[in-house]
Amino acid sequence: MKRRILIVDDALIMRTILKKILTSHGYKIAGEATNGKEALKLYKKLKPDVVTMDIVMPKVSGIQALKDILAFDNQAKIIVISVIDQRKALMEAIKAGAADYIIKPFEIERVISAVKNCLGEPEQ
Amino acid sequence: MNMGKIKDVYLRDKSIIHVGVGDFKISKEGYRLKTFLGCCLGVCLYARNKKVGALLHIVLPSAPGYREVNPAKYADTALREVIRQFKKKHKVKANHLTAMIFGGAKMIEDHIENVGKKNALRAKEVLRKNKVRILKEKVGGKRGYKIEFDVSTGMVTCQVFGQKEQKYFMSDKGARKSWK
Amino acid sequence: MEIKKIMELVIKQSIDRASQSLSKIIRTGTMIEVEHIEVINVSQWTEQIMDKGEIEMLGSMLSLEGDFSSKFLFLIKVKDAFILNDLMIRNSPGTTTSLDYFTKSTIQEIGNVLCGSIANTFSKDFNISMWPSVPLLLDDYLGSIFSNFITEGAAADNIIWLIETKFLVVKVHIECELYLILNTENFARLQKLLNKEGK
Repeated sequence: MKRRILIVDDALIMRTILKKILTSHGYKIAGEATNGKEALKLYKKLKPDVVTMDIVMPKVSGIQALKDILAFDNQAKIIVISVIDQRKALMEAIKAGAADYIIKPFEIERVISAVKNCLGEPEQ
Repeated sequence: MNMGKIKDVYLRDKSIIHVGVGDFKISKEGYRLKTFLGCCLGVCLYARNKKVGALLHIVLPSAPGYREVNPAKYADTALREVIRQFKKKHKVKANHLTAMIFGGAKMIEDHIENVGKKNALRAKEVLRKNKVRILKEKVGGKRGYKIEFDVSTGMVTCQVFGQKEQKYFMSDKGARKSWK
Repeated sequence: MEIKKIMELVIKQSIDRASQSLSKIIRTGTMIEVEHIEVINVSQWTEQIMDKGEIEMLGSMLSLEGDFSSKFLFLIKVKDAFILNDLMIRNSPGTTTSLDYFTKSTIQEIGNVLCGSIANTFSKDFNISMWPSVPLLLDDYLGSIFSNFITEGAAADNIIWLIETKFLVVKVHIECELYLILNTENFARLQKLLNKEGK
């Protein structure tokens, strides 16, 4: 059965790129959210296997959404994907419970490797 | 394209005087005053009998309490200064001036305080207090404004981005749309 | 070492990093040229801009927030945005022909990535926290975009620090520009931070 991923990013282009990368590697897209508030709502509804989460978004930020999702499901696997490459942000995300932290612009292999790690799949 | 340098200076239309952010320009006939507005406010003032006009590019509504280096930026101090200059240099009293107000667009949705609206309110307050007749007010919206004020004819051309150009005539009797 | 010199060095590094990020996302080399790093008079500088103010441009505008704040603007002509969109989604240049929501999103995101690169360099070199806001897309007269940019970044200031950079995407000969403004209060804050670090 294909593993399902929820993509959270306010930029349509990023959601499209991630969708392309993930589907071409055999994953199914459970849904897309454009902000942290929507992310929590969709997570509760769709119960995806993995979530990719941008940090800077309107309404509710990625870090807050991460905390909210983990408060709902402490087993949630959330990969943060952000332009911010700073120790403070990284520490904050990891402390909040992020499974991984990817910097934009990213390599395809980095994204796939992070997803596989979350799912306990072997890397090729 | 380099914003800061004008490469073909010799091709520039020398009858156009551009007005920058937080500035105003006063001109006699023979020139067109021009500016582009976002959330800022543009005010045209005209002394029809003398054919002298002003275009103000206003950033904020009220000057702070302390002495400000650039009074041209604020609706209250800028308008008072322009009215003073009309009186002193061109012998035109404030109640012989007519005005048109443009701009104050809310180009950014999430703005909590609508500075454009505040600028317009303050400008109208000052103009009314000085008995300047406001012939036209076109403010708000979400797109930028192009304003060109022909001081020779008293014609103000206003074009909101993406819309048709509108022309307004600074007559003594009231603003009317140009025929064309 | 003088604060201005340090500032210039860090800015050049941050622009260089931004250029690398842009090259990475569009998989094409970019040449950069830092045109100006200088203190300008807002009214005089924007007066010059108004001369070309009628051109339709797309602008991705962001705030840099944190230990000190700044305002960022990525600017590109509409027809060049189409090509950048094609490069980003790996289509042949010329495929995109309309300014739709997707193309606008691309420009917004490119602004986000460039601004993020600058924030990251500032953060590392000045040992501060600095992050970009949600990018806003403006499609309007160049003059109106600048009017808004300046007002947003420095409404209370008459004199500001302006950094103007030109990018040239080599393969397809398109130009885009990047602006950063710092008001005097934030420049002073930066100076304090540097003095604390003992630089």
